[in-house]
Amino acid sequence: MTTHTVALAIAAALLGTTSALAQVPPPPDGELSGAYTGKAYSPYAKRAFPERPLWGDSHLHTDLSMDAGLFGNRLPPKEAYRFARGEEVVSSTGQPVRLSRPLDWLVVADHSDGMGLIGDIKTGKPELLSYEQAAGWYEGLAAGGDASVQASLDLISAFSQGKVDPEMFALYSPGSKLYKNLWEKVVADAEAYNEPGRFTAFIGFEWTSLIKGNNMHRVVIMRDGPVRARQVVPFTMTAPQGSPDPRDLWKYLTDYEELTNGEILAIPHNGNLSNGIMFPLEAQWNGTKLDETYAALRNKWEPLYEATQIKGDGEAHPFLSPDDEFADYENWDIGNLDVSEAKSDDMLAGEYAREALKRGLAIETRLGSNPYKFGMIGSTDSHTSLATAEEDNFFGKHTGYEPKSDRMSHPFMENENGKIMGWQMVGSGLAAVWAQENTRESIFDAMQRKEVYGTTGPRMAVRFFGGWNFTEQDMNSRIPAVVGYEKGSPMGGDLRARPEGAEAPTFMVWALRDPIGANLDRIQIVKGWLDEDGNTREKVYDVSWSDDRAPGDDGKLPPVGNTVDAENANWTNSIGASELSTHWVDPNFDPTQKAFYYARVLEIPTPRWTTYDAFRYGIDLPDDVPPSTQERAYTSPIWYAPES
Amino acid sequence: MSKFARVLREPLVHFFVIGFVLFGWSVTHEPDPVPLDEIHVTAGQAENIAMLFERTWKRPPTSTEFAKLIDGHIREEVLYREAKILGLDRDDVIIRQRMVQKYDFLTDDVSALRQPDDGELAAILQAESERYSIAAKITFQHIFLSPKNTEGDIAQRIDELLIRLETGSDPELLGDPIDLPSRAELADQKRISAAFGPRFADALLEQPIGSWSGPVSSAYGQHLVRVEARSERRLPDLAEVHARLERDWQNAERKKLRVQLLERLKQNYRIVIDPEVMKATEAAS
Repeated sequence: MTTHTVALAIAAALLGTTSALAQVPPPPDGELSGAYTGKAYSPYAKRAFPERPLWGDSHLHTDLSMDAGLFGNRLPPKEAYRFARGEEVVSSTGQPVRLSRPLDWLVVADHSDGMGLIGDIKTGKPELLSYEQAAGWYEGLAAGGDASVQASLDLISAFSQGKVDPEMFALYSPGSKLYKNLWEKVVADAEAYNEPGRFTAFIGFEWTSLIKGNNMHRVVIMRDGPVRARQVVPFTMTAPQGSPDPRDLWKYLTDYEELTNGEILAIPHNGNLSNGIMFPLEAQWNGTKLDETYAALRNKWEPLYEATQIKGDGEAHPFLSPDDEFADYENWDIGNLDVSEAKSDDMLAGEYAREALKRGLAIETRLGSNPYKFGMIGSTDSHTSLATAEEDNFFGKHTGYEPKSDRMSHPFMENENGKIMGWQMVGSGLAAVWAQENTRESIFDAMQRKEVYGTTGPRMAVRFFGGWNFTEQDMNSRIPAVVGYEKGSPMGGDLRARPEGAEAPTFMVWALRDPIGANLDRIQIVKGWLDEDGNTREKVYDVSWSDDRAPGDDGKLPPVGNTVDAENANWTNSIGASELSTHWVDPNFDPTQKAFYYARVLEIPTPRWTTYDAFRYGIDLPDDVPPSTQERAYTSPIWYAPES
Repeated sequence: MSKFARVLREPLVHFFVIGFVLFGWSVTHEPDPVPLDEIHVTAGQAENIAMLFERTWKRPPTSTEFAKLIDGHIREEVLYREAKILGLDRDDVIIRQRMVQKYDFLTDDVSALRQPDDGELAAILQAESERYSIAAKITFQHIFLSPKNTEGDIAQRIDELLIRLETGSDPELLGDPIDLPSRAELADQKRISAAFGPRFADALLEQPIGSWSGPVSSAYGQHLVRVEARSERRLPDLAEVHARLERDWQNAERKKLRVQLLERLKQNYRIVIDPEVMKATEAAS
């Protein structure tokens, strides 16, 4: 059949409809034969997939955030960007600090409630000083010494007890001109440091929803630049302009896109401090039952979850995953965000990422959409304006915990329900994005399609692909990623429709160690699925590991060892592997059962930040503080759905 | 440069401008004339200052830090008195720090009157070339020799590979697989370092151009490399970094003007430092 005949046949078929395509006359013979050149020989030509992960922190606070300012942060967004870009800055406690390597992108996400208020009190903004409360605080803070400590405490308690002058607070809420100007400055600062191709500064903020001390925060990130971002102001959690209900946040996101024609998304974090309400199974905290709308909206607006950060690692918990010997990593599980309520075991299932991913499968069956179909990232949530997540360069959660000899032995949070000690802060995390270009659009789009992964600080390069016909030969191909994208789906995606006769999904996974970091211990693949009784199940498989080890009789791979010299805060790469990779087939696949798979990569043990502190300050490490840590990466999952 | 522009550059002109502005203010505020005033830095005051430092830092200041603290104290005193003379302290709420800050704002406003000329920017570029220089860019290919590959020793494998390369084998098909690009074009040396490790990136600067060489170590193992082209680390043209230089210049100017103004104002005071304090600050030099 010649091209001409085919064209005529198509045209004939189309002429039966009234489509516009029917108006297109078939091309003359031979004209189409040159139009499609087929795959280029050179694998580098016409490349349309990302070649290197772009590293960033999606969650950083500056002195614009009330709590950061209250604890002494004096660094504005400008300094945060300079630091992220690799320049040396002086921290709020006067210490010079610099990243080992620049980041590729940053989201300054200050709390939208009361943004800018504390900084203006500190500098005595005239409009504020007409309020007696503010004038008193200003005088105290400016006087220094004991008076300023008293003023800070006064300020903090006024805010936490809701005893702030409402008229004054309204100045720093949506609706006031001052707030709009503040937001414009935030947008302008991001614009000034946004350099497409070299460094991306996103425009964003944090929506700080708290339900009786239970954490429901989300970071909101815009894909857009100032033209669209300036048409709105951030969404707060304080009525009447704001709300603590995520449904209202999603309405705000919908309105933003409708109004500006832009794009926006939200990333929740710290489910571990939500006392069970972050990932509900049946009903929201207020009793509203989950419905199709909730599931569909959450699926749409929250494509990612920040699974690891300074206030605890949120991937897994030993109570939920008793067979996972690595699930007890940096868990913060004594209570909610302000420890106003203690934690009980029944809450845990609504808090951790792996369990949420499993719940999502069950809810999808029930309601039609998966509200917890999220990719995973890490970020710091640092309130020092410094995006530090490395163990040997950790500047803590807020200014009061910047390096000093006693920072690990002070309680970080304490009341009658329990306490979290300073040493429990985690030197975590970072987000890696597989985007083709270092631009807002490219990185945002990668976040939207979940082609991202999180680490607890180090920069391992991790690739993960799922398909139906990957082979060992594919692993040996010169550029395996080409095959990965051609024959399968990358992390964050869905497995393609199962071909006739395919017995089980196949996966390819690589990890390269951080080039200036520690060797790798192993790669694991975590599988979660919905079994025939509608119960969720999970299993962790060791799929690739270093050195000559073999699983024991209990099915567990022996630990990789430990070269950490705690006294000198040192380790050696004499164990572990600089890179690991493997081809893996699911040995327990049932095509009728929904499932997800994600990769977890573990490093060999390295000194924890507390060990570096002990070494540098010449102090003893308290007995309950572990001297070493095994840093890790979590990729976004790949989902499998049976044909309906 | 025009005469006017040259005039505008003169710091003294700025002081006259400030003086004129403040004079205008003072005419409406009618301050009293004040004789030459003494600022006396006593041992007691110095001790207080050091104690405050120690309370924050849990250790006494070093001699350098101490000297800076004393300087800071004198600066504060000078500017505070100047500000008071001008009646800047009328409002009860505004205290010492705020007055000094206000004075600084005035000088900052004046410093913004000046625009840098290209000559000044070029001087900064030269003086701080380290900061502004653009990293080397390298076009190269590499073949990875994984430590996991146990077929023969590494010297043998290299020899074999070199022979095969010489006889025209495609380098893309040789060596062990690794998730790193097998070829990079005009890659920034910093980015090579981020992907392969700093040792590899540095080694690429030494390799011959146009032929296969090695082995070169990376964070993952050994490589044979072939550098095809290499641009040296270079200082950018003025035009390339003009905006950045202007921004940095303005920051520096602001600081410089503050220092100059302070020196000028200090001449209105006789500053006496107690001998013990003097000795402690001198220990810093």
